[in-house]
Amino acid sequence: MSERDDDLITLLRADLADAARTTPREGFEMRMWDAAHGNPQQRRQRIGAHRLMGPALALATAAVLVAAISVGVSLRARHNQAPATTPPPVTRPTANPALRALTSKGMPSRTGFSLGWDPVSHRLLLFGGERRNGPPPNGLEVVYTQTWAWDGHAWSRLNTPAAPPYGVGTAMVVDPHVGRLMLVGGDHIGTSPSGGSWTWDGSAWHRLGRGADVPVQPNVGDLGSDPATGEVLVDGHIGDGSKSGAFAWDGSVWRGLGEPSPSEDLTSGTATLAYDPRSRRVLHIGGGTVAPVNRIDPTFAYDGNGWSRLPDSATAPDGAANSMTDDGGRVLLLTHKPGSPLDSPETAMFVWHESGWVRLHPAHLPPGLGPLVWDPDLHAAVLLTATTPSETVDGMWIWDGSDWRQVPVTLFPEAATSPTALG
Amino acid sequence: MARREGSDIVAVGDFDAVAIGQARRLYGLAFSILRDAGEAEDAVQETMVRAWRSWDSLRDEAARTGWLTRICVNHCLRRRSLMSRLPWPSGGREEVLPDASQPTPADPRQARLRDGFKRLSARQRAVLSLHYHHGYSLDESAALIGCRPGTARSHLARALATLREELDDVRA
Repeated sequence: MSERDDDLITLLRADLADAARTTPREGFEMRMWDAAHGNPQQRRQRIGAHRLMGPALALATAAVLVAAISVGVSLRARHNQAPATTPPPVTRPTANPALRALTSKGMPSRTGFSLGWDPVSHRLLLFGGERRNGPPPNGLEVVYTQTWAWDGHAWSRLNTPAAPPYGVGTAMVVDPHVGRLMLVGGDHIGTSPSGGSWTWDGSAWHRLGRGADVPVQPNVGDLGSDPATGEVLVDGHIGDGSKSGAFAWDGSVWRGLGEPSPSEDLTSGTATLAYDPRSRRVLHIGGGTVAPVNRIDPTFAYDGNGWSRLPDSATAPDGAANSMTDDGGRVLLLTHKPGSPLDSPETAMFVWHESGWVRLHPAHLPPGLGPLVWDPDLHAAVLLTATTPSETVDGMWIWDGSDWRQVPVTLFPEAATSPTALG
Repeated sequence: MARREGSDIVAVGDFDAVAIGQARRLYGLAFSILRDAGEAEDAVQETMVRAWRSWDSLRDEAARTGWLTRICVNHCLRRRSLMSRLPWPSGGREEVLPDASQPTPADPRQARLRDGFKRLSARQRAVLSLHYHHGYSLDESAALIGCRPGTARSHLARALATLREELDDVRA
């Protein structure tokens, strides 16, 4: 081969390498996943076909017809070859490089807080919590009524003129009626009364009227948002816990949803709710970690009229339900894996598919459990994990659609030690 | 219905790991043949759809990468063939729209080579890309394109001759 040919091959390799490095549009892997797994709403329109028809439309009607017929045949063939059943939901890679740059500097270390994604400021919001030096119910050191926000890199404590009075026993979710975070419940060191209902405008808390006080005492996670009806759903225990009830908030009043209440079957008061965009229903699942057995309760669905218990299926998760969120397309569930220690639980992961739960086996799983929130900006689910017996949060994990990634964490150095409420 | 621990989940997870995991590589290959970001994404999308439908039937795991590559290349060849038959205002096989996803190179010879690449047929582009960038031998490239090894060698020789002419013009 001559020197001239060597030069040509070198240039050619460089050009081909450039071509191979070309970056597709953001979300490429997700679109490919959707195409493969038969999500027609997500399937990308053919840009190429548009280009074929655009520039030469007037001059090439016949040729365009040929192209259209060709595309039509292709689509028909695609339709005819479609599998008889929808493929099961599985991991959905996003490969968002921004997720690798996330850090969690100054994360407030505590337990019993509520967590939500703020659609106004586009940040993760954390309210309240407590610090313990041992497993609940003992060992309480501090109760917080602080509000913290995470911007993807660092946590900041926000200066809020007013704040919900009780830092424990609250739950937070986006009120689809107004597009703001709503916080309900709250008790003081495990006792009633309720701390009322509050809304977050992006920079301050505002208490809603007395009529907005939630009729039940929710646990963290017992609150759900239903974009299909514009309602906030809650279920929980009334009074001393001997009764339970389910209610829906429509922006003005809490409406009792009657029987059945999904809380009635709860074995330990642990429950979690999430909206299923595919069926346009809210799912509810509960469970308990009452030693020595941890178990999961039936799955309920809310369709705008009331809760209904879904048939048990062979795909029911084992272990206790811990946290659940929707990722814009599916419902993700984390459970406490059966047989693992209560104070250092192993995690199992499931997604809801049509009428049952399907277990996922990602390459990595967080070593602990905690609140799970979907961040639409990151297009990822954020999990705060506790790996200590006192359930104090000390880790952050990101679900990118295909695997879990640990976010580097620096804990905020807490100074206060007295067992009093802190603002 | 999928089973919790059954082969369905394993198969699907396997598909995601193998097929979706190769989407970027396939995109690069498709782009090198089609030189159009939208068309390249279409090609990979079509590859994923076809691969998903037939995934379970491909028992030889070692052959899956080649199989995905073949589906993608074949789709690129079909698309390129269709594009070349349409009466573009500029005529011939020139790209109608400049693709911002691949900026113009500063080196004039590189720019000229890219111009010369546009004069190549889809099969010639595919052979060059598979052989010089993706590391396939000419026999393997021929199998992926669906032609005889001798034909692939012919495509390669003609492609290099075309590109050589283009560069000679720069030197002249």
